[in-house]
Amino acid sequence: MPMVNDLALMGHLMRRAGFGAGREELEARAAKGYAATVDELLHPEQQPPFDDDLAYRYIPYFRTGTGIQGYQCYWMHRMISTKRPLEEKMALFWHSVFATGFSKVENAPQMNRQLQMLRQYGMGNFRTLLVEMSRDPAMIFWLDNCENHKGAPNENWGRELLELFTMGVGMDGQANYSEDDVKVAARAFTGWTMTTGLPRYPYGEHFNTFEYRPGDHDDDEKTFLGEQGRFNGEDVVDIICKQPATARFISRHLYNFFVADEPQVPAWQNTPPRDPAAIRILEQAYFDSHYDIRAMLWALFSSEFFKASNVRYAKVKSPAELVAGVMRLAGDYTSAKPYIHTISASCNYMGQELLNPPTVEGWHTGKEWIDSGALVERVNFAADQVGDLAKPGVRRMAERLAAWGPALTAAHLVDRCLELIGPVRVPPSRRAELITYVEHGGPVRCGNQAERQAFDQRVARLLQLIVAAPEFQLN
Amino acid sequence: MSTQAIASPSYRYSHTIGNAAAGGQVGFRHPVDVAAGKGGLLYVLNSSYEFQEDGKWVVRCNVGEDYLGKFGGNGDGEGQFVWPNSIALDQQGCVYITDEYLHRISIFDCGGNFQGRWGTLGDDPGEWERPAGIAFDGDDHLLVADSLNHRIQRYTKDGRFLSQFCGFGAGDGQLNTPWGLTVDRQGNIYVADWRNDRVQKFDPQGRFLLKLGVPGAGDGHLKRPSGVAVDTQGFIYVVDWGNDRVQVFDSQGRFAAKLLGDAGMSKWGMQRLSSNPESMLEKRAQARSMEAEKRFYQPVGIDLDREGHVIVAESGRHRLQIYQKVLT
Repeated sequence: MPMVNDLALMGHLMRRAGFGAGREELEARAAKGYAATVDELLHPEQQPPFDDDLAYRYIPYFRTGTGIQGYQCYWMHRMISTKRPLEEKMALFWHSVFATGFSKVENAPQMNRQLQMLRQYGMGNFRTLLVEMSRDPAMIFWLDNCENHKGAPNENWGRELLELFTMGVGMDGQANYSEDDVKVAARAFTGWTMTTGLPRYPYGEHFNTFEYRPGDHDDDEKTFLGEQGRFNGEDVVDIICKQPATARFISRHLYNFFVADEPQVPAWQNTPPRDPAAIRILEQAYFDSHYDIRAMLWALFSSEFFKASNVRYAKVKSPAELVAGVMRLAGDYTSAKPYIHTISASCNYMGQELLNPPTVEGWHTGKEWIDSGALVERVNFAADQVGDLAKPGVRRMAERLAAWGPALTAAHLVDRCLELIGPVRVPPSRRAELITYVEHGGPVRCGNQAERQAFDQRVARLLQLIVAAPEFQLN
Repeated sequence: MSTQAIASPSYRYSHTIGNAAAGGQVGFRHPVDVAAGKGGLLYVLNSSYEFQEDGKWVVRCNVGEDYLGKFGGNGDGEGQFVWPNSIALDQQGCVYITDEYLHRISIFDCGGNFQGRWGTLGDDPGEWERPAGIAFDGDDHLLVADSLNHRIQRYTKDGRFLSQFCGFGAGDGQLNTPWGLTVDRQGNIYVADWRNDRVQKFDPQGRFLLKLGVPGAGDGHLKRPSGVAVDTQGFIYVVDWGNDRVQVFDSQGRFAAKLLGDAGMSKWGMQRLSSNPESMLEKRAQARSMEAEKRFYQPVGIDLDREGHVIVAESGRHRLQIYQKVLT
């Protein structure tokens, strides 16, 4: 039987490296061990792939939909039901960094294809990922590299590549690059464009493909970040990857996403990391592994700074994490099922429209996820799901609680519910409020059928109160 | 052993019907099956979206691309669908439609008026789980691919169970999540054995006769076949769903031909483009090549009409592509 501490740590790992896990899964993983679970998460290829064939059979628009909503549904379905949670979580991570939006791209299948690329390369070598992203048609259109020509450069991609995707404007109070470096980066990527795709009317969207046009590439001598040569795009990527600033930038992003909230990215030039020692560990892993993201993640999840109790329940869940996590807890939509748009749309209402971030900066995270409207959405969504005893996960929780015996104390019921739903850690005052609520309902019994029905209803209401608590909004 | 010359079929692309349409427009949205009736009449089953109120519908049109109306709807009410899968016509021209999510068959008259429904979720004889492909035999009995019970069941038109055959597996006479099926003039039954990447042929009593296709992408290989049809000369048409093509096999199961898609501009498509010629037509004029638009993209269902048309429902491009067989 796994120890409570093991389960708490495993719950933390699965919330951060995935989208949470039900009690049964946590127990199974705790029995397997923390290191083995980390290893499994880092090697998604060892787990069954997502059953796309079945999903496409039942829901054709998952593959060939014409609007963004269908692909948002598809991604949410994957987040809820994947056997490879870190693969999906890393796609979400990189989507937040390389924020590309349907609002401009206006080609939903192309957006989905970028997401597939993020799944494929998201845990691999960062250089490879950067090259793939540089060749990605959605990104090329999003940041106008198709308008970046020899003799008439468009700096949008070159600028964001440095500022938002790799190095950041500065660190330790110093600038990381100059305006000239931006211009040269842009020149190096001239000729990196895409085929002009077929128009969507009348038969739906078509994919664009990457195209390199040598005649449109500026092949002149260039100086970039202190190095000289007739640089092309891949040379610029090589130079970027070996910069300490890139190691710092990616490390801070990983720390911010998986460990604890950092300030928003624009402040990183002048605001030191929250935990400099942790960032140094990640930077070291970056260089030691020659830019391997999997190695950085291994260092992160194996570290004491990740396991520390003060970072648990210290991050506000993103809407995607909240929605997918609640659904995994409720055990619903774990296989293809209609009306998943009602689930994925909740994410939008909470402020995170997947595949359509507000700007190239992506979403502001941490406490900025919460405002009065979003909080109401978050609480109502979670309460609706866990209060529904028809949901398999909710039913399982009620059955496990009933198995504790025909009579429970109010405190016992509250503590067991907090364990099963997370485990969620609440302050003593919150626990006391929950116990008082249960006590108002009289003795907790589930010995006969009538008592059991009433018991189940009380459990559902108690679960709703727990997910309405501020602590449940935290990862 | 003597060899016999087999007529080699070739196929002439005829025309395209459809365009991507929202509920209120003339056209299709993820058409997953088609049934050809008398006089060129076509019923096209659209899977579409759950998040559009009128998102599940059947279009009545004809081979000449005249739009005749639509029926159905999105939901679990009478005459509505959630996961419509397959469509077939009985000898009176009534329309039968399976729904894999609601585990039922809905019946409409030839004008699209709802007549009734039947079906019970389960695994006992006569019950089913996720009914998929359907076809009528010569006695006007209905054959149903009971996909998650991995078997074929035969019913009277009003839902009385008659017989069943097959079960789960990868051996001869076994199925894994079957999808489309059809019946030839002799009453033989052909099943798209979806998860086994093959088509199997059974005699009218359900005894295994033949299998065709192996997993892969080469000629004669199949990847998740979804639909099957047989013409009067015994040629077997398989919608090779996972490979985005249609393949033709002879009656012995030998590869005979493949169709990759040749779509041109449909009448409805041109009407759509003409509604905003400055934008839509200009963009088309800028395209370097139109080849990609011609190719099949997620074809699903198939039917043959009495005039020898091969009609393919192409979900990913919201259209039907129609071919005519030419024997050489």
